[in-house]
Amino acid sequence: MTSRYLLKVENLGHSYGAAQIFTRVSFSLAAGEVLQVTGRNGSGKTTLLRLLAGTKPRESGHVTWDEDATRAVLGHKNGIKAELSAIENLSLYAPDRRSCMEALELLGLERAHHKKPCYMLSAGQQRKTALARVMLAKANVWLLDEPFTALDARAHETVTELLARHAKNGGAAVVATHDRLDLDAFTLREMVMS
Amino acid sequence: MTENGFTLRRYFFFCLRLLFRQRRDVALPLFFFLLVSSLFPLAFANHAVPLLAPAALWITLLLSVLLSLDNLFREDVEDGFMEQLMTARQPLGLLVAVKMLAHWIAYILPIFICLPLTGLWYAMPSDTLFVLALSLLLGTPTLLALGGLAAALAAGLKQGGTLLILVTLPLATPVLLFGLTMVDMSQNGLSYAAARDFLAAMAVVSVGVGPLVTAAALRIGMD
Amino acid sequence: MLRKFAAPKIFYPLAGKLMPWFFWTFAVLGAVGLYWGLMLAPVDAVQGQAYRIMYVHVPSAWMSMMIYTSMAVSAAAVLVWRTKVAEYWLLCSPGLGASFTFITLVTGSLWGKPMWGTYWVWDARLTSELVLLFIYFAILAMKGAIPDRRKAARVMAMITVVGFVNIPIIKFSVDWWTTLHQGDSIFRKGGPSIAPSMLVPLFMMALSFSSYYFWLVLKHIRTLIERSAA
Repeated sequence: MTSRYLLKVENLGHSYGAAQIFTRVSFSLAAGEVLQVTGRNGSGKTTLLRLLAGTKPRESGHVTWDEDATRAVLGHKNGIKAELSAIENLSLYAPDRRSCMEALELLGLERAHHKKPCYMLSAGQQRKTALARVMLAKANVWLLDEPFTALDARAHETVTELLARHAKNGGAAVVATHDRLDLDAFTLREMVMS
Repeated sequence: MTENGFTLRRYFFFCLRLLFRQRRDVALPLFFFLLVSSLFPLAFANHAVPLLAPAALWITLLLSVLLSLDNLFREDVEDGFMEQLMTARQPLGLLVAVKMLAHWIAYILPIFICLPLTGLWYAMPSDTLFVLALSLLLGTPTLLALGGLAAALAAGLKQGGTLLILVTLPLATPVLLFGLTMVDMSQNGLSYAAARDFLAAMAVVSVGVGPLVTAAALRIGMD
Repeated sequence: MLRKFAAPKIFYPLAGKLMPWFFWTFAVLGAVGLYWGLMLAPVDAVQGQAYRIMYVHVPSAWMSMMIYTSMAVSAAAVLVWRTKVAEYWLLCSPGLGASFTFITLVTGSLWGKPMWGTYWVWDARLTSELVLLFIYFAILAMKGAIPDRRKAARVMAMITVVGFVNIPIIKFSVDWWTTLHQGDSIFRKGGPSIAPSMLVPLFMMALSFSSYYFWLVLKHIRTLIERSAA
């Protein structure tokens, strides 16, 4: 039988109108692996992640998920509701208030900001809330599109560490980012979109 | 394959809480309803008002519902929340159904509560008001289904609000006419059962099929 | 990739072969039918000369519905199989459909004035035709609002299908509503059957109109294929 993978992608392609943005993208992702997707702007990183998430209809190729795979998605946009507080946003994904607060504090969002409506938070603080959602989702495959946008250096480090811990615990991730993900704790592979 | 775990119940209350926070926006269609329905009796001669009342209220409700639907999915698409809905464990169709139920409670229920007041403005006999309310009640699920579909298709577009109205109004003609037929028949002392059953049948189909079609439309609209 | 372009690749030359046939059917039958209908066909016993507007009105009305039906079929193909040619068909049709519907309404009004003494009646047939025009407009408006052609086609397909299901209901609801209000119908029901010498040119015109539609759609689709290949 084939080796264990959580996600397998074969010959994925996409085009906008007559313009092909990529063709024949193939890879597989096993537990403990983090795939970093880089490439110049417009090379299709976001499109690739959206095809994997299933929020964009596939045109050609195959995406196969393992039965045990569960996804947590962080898109370009945070997907949090501006009128609700960070805690209220997270309560949709995890009803337990304590774990919500822990996740937020771990990412460096101080307790004072937990109950404010999110439109009062800064861009970085909102990003942290969205990242806390990914943590709380308890999914084994994370699909992260530019997770470091607007994050400060400390949060940047925290997220990298979280990725390492996630991989060590048998998770996997596809991360589109230009930042270096250098921690030796996980198997890092890099794919350059061209 | 399972996804991040929010339940339908939790999503329902999430929607209600969000709508409550946005209550100033939520009140606008109701305000529109009251404002426009006050214009008719004001503008028309007294003797024309009873004749006009059901049609005026029906059309006003139709427009208020369309006004409320503008933001049914727009914000979700803009702030990226739609991605979370689309990758959730629950089928998108069910989540849409839950959202529409919350929408109905927040936007349309208040209009029904204000209906007796407008009935007063139009000096409407109570039995006519009852049949009118029933026809509106049976009509709203179909209006929500048609408008929800259009809202889903128009969610990411610049002129979304106007397009929503242009697409929904012609398709909503039967709802309007069946509803008015119902009121008309009861006013003439005829049995309105047939028209009522038609509206009810359309409502059942709308509740059953509408969310699924809307979910499919959302996937197209997100592309 | 090849498989995806297979359909347009076959369709393109096929359309090229069919186009002259449609064009000449349109031109010849149109000329003959029009001459026959307007000049040779006998004067109607009841309606006099005015009935001759039927030779434009009736085929246009048929076209307005035929085009919508063809759109509904291609809409189904777009939604189920994402067929490219069906997408093109859907993109090219509503403009023509709206035009024929508009012609139907205008000629109908002009015909109505001498016959019923008024340009417009809120009768079931006229109202349904008007709603059909509005549905065409809605589809066109959506087409105009979406820059990406493939997405536009799918959005149009959704509206087309829902509209298609809705049209009989619209017709029925208007019928019921208007009979409630206009018991003394202005329409003469079941007039005298039409003489064959009047009927033949009518069918010629219908064939000519549909050939015109097919000719134009094929022409448009070929341009779209050329553009997507470039």
